[in-house]
Amino acid sequence: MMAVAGVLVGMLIGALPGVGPPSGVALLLPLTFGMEPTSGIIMLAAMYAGTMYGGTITSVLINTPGESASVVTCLDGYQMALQGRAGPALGIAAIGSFIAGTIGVVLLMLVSPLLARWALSFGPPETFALMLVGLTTVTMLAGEDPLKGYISMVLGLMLAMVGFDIISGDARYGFGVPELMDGVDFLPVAIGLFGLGEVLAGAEDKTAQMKIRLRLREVLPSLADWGQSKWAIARGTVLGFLVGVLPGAGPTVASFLSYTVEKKVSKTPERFGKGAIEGVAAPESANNAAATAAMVPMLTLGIPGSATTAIMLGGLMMWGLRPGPLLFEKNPQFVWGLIASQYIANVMLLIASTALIPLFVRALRIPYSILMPLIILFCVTGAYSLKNNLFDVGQMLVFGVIGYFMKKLGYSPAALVLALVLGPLAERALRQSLIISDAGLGIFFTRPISAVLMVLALAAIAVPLAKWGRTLLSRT
Amino acid sequence: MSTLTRLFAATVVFSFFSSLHMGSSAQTYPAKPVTFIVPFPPGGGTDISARTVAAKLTQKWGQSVIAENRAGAAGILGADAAAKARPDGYTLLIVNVGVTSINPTLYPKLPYDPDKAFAPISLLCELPFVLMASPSFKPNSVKELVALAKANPDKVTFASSGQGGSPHLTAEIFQLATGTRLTHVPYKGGGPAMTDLMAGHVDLLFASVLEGSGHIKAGKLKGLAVTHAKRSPALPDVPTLAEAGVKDAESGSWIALLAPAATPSAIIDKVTADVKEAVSAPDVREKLIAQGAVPQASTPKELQALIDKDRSRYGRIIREKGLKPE
Repeated sequence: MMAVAGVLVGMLIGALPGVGPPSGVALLLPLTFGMEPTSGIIMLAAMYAGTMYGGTITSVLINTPGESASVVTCLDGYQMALQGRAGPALGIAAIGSFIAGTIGVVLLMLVSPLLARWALSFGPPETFALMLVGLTTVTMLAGEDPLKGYISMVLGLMLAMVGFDIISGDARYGFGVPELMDGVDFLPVAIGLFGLGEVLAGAEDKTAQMKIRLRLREVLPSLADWGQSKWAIARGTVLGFLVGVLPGAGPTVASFLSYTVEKKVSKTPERFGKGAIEGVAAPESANNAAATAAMVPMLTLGIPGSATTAIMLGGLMMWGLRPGPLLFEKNPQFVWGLIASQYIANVMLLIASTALIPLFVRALRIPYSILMPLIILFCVTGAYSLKNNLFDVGQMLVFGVIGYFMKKLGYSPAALVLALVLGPLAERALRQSLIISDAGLGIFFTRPISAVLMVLALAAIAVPLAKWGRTLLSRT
Repeated sequence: MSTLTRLFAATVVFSFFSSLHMGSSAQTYPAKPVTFIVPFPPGGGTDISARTVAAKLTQKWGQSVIAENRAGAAGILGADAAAKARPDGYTLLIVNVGVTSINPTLYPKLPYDPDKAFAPISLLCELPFVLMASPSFKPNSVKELVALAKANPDKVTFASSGQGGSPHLTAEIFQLATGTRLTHVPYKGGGPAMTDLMAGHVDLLFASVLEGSGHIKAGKLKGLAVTHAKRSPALPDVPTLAEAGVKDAESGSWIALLAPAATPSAIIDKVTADVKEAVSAPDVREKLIAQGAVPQASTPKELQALIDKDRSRYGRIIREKGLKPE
């Protein structure tokens, strides 16, 4: 019962852009305080799953990511919706999430202690190298022109510099605005670039309005869709789980990496960005596997692995449970209850979403002239509800205009958002590493995990540039 | 005057007086829900303590006490919202040591005047810190640590939850008191710092007893000393800094309740008394202690003295070290 209610409430809340899992769970956390701990935690786990899927719904239907981990889903998910295939996109996302969640829970039970050790081996140098690998995926998001991808990325990195310097504490590009002290928040930017930018661009384009209404027959994925997606789901799950165990940007990096991997292994990479179902299946599986994996550090070390688990840990403390490695030993029924409820939440999510997809898809039947103002309304409330601050709404509007121009000129907003999310993490890890090594760059290459990741990242930067250079040369 | 105008005038006059009555009377306070602005994200130590006390006051007053999170900019955004709220006792502000005693020195341009914007109500609890070392770090006591750090200046690293935060300043106080020089590695939040300490990527960390005690008890981290005057009930085996031979380095955070400056003193007195009762209620005490806090109410005067004392103390460190905010 609690699980059903939690999933539904979570989905509703999560479907508001701007209310991603962390703020969704935070919003709903007080609801559970009156309950007894076990029902409370089941409800919480269900809401977590629900809000995650809620973000996917808006990504697919109105091109507005609810959280950083569903940014990639916009790329092909929204294209599928434009082709009248919103149903299959949402369906495969739910199935992929379910499979990833199921495998994730099994792995969580079997190999948590091992994984905790893997998480601990990631110090600042390893984190920096991983972020670098994550950033190189821009070449895959950017379409034909890697240069435009890099330009978007650099723009994102520049935005990521805003706010106080993490080591010296100097204010950077803040112009004395207190809201900018913490840096540019990624959600208003993403909502603006994707959601509002899309509305602005769509307002000019009469054909887009027609296309949506063409085919709505397909409500669920077909067998052919499943055939195309099954390996994408498998790869997304494994990758997502491994990356998700690492504290920090787990789900986001996992979703971007798995998208890149799919595009690499695909025989028809040109379909990506134009509505490839693997491009939805892989990142959605990856972010769900990563969300499950984020429980590993919380349960084994007592340290939250993501913003959402941090809030859930706060919930645990409200019930008088102490975080820490002893949680497993002292309150086993509780920990297993949590794992079980995660699983129940996954099942509920699959049922609820299949039942509700026709309803969500029907939302697209609303005439364009009504749907678009509604989306703008969603974008505004989403940006405001983030921190109850009008400043974020202004930020969202500005980025809506920027998103419109980026779309017109062929620059990738996903690359910008990725850089904005990973930039601060990469910078922090880089500078921590350099403090520890006393400014020696060797630290990135003498530690095995870091060295492998660095080589991967450098290759990912060098190879497309070399190819691009060669085509330029051969043209002249 | 037509009947309608007369009726209208009467309504205006009536509503004026009734609102005046509602706003200023301590007898009827609280006549509607009270909001605690928590200038930090939900789920953190400050938020949980605030919610624990808010729940008790809700019971006592028969009016909801709502904890509203207005996070951002080291608590400045939430504090600013409270500073500009109507001073009628229905919007109060939860603060920690950082908001009242660190930010005014660290941030030269606050959007409010920290000396005039708020009136103190009461302390809620103290949050002592514990100095922890990575299991792979050789020294097992403060004495051994100081000897090692003196022999190798700048070689021992300490993590913190962020530049200019109270755990960081506590470490600076510790260095001054012991005459050592350590290298600071700032993190974003206590969680990532704790992970890297456990793995041995950094050597030392000051963090709240709440965050640290579980790991110390499980043997994943070494507890060297607590920064409070008394040993913590959660860590009875860990000595205080004074016991470990370090004088005048007591530190730690605390959580308190403030009101916008012009709030009627009758209301402040009532809230002060009720907070005292709430904080000493056995169930609240038990919850706060379970969170690693030391429940402690105070009078407005005592709170102001604490704010000022910590502000001059941390202010000196910040100026001497030339620290800037993160």
